[in-house]
Amino acid sequence: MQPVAILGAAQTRHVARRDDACYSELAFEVVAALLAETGFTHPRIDTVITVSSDFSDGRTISDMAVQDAVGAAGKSSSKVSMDGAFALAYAAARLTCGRYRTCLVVAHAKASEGRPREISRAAFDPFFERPLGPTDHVALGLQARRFLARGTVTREAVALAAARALAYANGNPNAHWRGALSSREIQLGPPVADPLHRFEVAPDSDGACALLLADLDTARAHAAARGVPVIRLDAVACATDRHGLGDRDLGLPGVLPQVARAAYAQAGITDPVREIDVAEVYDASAVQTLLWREGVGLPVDLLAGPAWNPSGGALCAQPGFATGLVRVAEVWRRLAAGEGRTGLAHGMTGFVGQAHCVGILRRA
Amino acid sequence: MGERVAIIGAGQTPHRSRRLDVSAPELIDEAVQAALADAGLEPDGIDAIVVGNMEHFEGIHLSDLWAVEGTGGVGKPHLKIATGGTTGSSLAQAAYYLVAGGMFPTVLAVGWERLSDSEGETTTGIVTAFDPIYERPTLAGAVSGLAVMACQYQARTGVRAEEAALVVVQARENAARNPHAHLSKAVTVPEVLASPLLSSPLRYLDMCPTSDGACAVVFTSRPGARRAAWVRGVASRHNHTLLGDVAEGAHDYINTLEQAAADAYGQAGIRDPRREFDVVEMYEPCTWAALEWAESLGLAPRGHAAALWADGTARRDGDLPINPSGGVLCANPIGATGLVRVAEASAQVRAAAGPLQVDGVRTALVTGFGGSFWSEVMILGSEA
Repeated sequence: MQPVAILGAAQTRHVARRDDACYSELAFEVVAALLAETGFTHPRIDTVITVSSDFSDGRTISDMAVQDAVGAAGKSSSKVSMDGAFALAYAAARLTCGRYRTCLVVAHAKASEGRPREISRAAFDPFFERPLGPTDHVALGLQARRFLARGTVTREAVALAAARALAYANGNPNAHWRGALSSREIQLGPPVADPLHRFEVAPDSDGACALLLADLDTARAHAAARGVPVIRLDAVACATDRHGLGDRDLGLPGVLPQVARAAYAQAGITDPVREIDVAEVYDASAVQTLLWREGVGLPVDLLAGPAWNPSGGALCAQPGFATGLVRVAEVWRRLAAGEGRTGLAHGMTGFVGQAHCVGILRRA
Repeated sequence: MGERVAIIGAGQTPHRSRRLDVSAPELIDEAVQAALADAGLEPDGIDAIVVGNMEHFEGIHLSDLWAVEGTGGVGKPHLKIATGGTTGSSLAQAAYYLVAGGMFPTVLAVGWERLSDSEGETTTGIVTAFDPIYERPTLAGAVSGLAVMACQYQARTGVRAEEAALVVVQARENAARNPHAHLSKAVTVPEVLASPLLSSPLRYLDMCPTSDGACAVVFTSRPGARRAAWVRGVASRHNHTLLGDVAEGAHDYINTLEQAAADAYGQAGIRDPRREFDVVEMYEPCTWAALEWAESLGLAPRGHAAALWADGTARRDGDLPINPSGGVLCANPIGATGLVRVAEASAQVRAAAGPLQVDGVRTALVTGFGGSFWSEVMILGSEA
């Protein structure tokens, strides 16, 4: 792909319940913050991509309710109904075709207004899987069992990954969960889906995230005027696996290696361990914190290579389809602050990583 | 600027009230296989897939991922787009942008719906789109917003119900030649006027049906020697959230289609739409909408679109055929409906429309409608 740039990112604090705001107000909150941060106004935003889930919102055509919040009236707008990271591909295409100079991407989710486990049930095959009563958490448990059975990491390492995420989240004001728990305390906590316990499975959060993308000329002018660096989006790649849990080996990273290779090829990355400074991945469980490292071609040792989910990751805040966009926002924030030159952001949709998306960001 | 984008193949299922003989992935597969055959491609010739479906109607969450074996998306990039009635036209636009922006050389757009799975409760699903406090009690559903628009149109123009009824009379005539159409039985003006009142002035036969069906269209920057329909204009205009806010300004009609058309016409260099288009595939969810939107598209002066149907201009053998396929009034598998318009128009431009073919089509106009009266327009031409 031709590179584009990300001019700014904004997110809400991600919490269990936002009784003070409906979901269009969550979207408004991040758009207002993004406009304030970048100095842009609505007339200078050419096109808008929103990201939401009709089931999660309890509204069909869920983008209808956020049109005013994101300033879509009178503009070309569309909705991606997948994790927000995937929307980057569409937003970038709208810029690289030369039609638009700026594109706003906004994702929101309000888990507290629904029953996330019940909603996840509706994504299983109605004939072959639903009668067995699975949920997204059950799928995560199956994946964890399968992963541990491979013997590459210990049960202790999974709990340590969760403890580490909570510790990292102490430095993230937007995190839903943070704290200081030992791996032993986590393993003694309430079970969620065997073998996973509380804090080893991502929370259900209310939250929103917005990104402003622009073509490189607009980005350079913006950077020069405001004295900020240009953060490019050099690659976006994605792919989808089979649906049935029995049709994939859940203990392996599925299509993620293929997606990562495609992203590295687009961005000219040959040695991810050395070249990537920061990575934020969508880890719905502490097993995924480890397994997705294998997926993107990094050693399983969490201390090797790039800073790995320094925000605490999805394990500490999971606002539905906004989760992957939050990964992009976190990587953007660190590169903009000078904490490295190259970053990887990952999103996923579907149980235990049926569809993966990887973006590569670079500070120019 | 971006890549030039062509449509080189399209396929659809027959659209029916119930397709109990196939699962949704099998239904999708029918359309995908037909589109690949039409484009002369094997599945590995597709670089990415955009999928559209409104999951409230089937009750399947993440329906794109569930149906991935039907779309051919396993191992490939795919994006799900879901924008209500416009879903199909939004798919076409997403596929266009992904190819034009150089992300992928060849993209397959796939839309589908099995409205029979909602067991007669399609409107119940649509009701949830509307604000639970301000709108659901009075305006929710597909029918009521269109009824308000039809009332306004009637009040403004004085057009009578029997004039609007001619739209569906002609649509059914056209659909009789279309093997994919869901409704193809001839109807008369007195039958339309005697059909049950849904929400004044809309009667049962003024409204589109709910259908099971799928559609797939191949967009590419590398058409090679294939017969191509080139995308010459793409535009979309969104709107405010609440219906009371959408008809703003000095006029009392909803102007998103007028705005989108002006944008697309500018891209394609269209100055006299009435003369320059050879065929129109319009998203008309009801008869009255066809009248108002023909005017928004500049095909007739404000208040005078009924003449297009009354004097035969809009007939398939007329001067400006509108919906030779029978249109949405004769088949409405929601997630596919807008894409069916693109499929039909591209087939007309590629001289591949079979029994529906209009002679000498060089330029075609396609529209999509959805959500809170947002509009999408695509212009296809035989020349890039």
